[in-house]
Amino acid sequence: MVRDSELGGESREEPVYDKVTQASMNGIYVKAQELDRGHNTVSAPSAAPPGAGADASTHAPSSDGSAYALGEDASTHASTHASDSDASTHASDR
Amino acid sequence: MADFSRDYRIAYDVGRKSCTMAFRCFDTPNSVTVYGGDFDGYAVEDVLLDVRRLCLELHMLWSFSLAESDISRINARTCEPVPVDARTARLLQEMKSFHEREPLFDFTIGSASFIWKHFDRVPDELAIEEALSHVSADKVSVVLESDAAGGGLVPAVVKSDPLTRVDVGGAAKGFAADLVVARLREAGIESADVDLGGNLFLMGKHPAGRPWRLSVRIPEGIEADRIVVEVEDVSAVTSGSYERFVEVGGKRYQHIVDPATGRPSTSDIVSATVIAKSSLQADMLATTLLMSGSSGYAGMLARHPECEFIAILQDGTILRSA
Repeated sequence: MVRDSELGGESREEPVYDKVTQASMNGIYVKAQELDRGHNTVSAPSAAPPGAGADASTHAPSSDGSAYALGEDASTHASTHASDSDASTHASDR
Repeated sequence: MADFSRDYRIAYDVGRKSCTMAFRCFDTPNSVTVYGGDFDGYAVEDVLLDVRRLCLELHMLWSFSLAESDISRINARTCEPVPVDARTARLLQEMKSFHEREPLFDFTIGSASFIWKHFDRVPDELAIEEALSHVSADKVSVVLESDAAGGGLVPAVVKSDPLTRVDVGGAAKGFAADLVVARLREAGIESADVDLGGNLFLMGKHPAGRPWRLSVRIPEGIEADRIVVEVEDVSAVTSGSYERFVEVGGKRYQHIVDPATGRPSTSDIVSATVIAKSSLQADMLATTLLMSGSSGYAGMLARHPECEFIAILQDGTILRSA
């Protein structure tokens, strides 16, 4: 714990670590039934929408029509990594 | 059909000192956070979206299941030259070259790992022996051949055995991470953390101006002290038997198949972490270390003194090279 007494006495916790390395799926294995074989091209994402970029904003996803098929409702993916509110608190056990 | 256009998210931290993109690719969650960029405009978002596009391209090339991917076409029952993307050719060449230094790492293990992936039942001896007969890095070559359109030479992969199957699982995300980092550097990014499904690359220094503090996860059920390493501008890759395994008949099998036996590795190492300047190298070394077990640990250290190794054994013993 680092106490910033010079800055008004607020305490700020120093992270023990910033990132955690752990075993992952060691391969690119996608079950065949999860794929939409009829769409396997990647097109360029569109430009960021007007107004995007506000602090901690969640941008509208690209409207690139990306047909990258993962077999899950991708809307459930979007919340898996919220941005940290402060870089010093980036540490997290995933 | 699911809506896959909503598979990423970009967000800034308070104060706009960092920008994070989380996205789905390689059948796993990924994230890239860049620090200290020009966050007043959309430039950083364009860079991150470009990174995502790059990853999707690589997935399309290396997926086992997409019929038109380079890997699927290579794994088809053929000995005809298969034209591939230059990045696929380079990945296979790197794996082949690494295999010459570390024979335990064999990217043609695909024939054997294929029969274990189903895991409905344990493959019988005959099936394992038959699959192993197709495992040999000598059976796969990367060549240059004339473009069908007459536009010059293009890379192609040739197999001498139609039933040999390549498996890029022990290297693909590492190679992808290196390409992502190169793309970020081209864009002028100096500090970032790239996390491709657990393959980390910690670019430059931590935004606070100090080294990154990297922790190695201790697998559940293992009694061991927390490991924290300070690093700068390196990749860290962990291969473990605790995340991916399948139980068949009450016995747990891990996902990495040993090319010597054609069976899932029975190494006493449950977590193998390698820290290296190249994520591709770290990825391949981590896979190899996991398979080699504690008996192979010292040899790997001697052969790769430029890398840092951390192995966690089943009994909680931690082996560290530094």
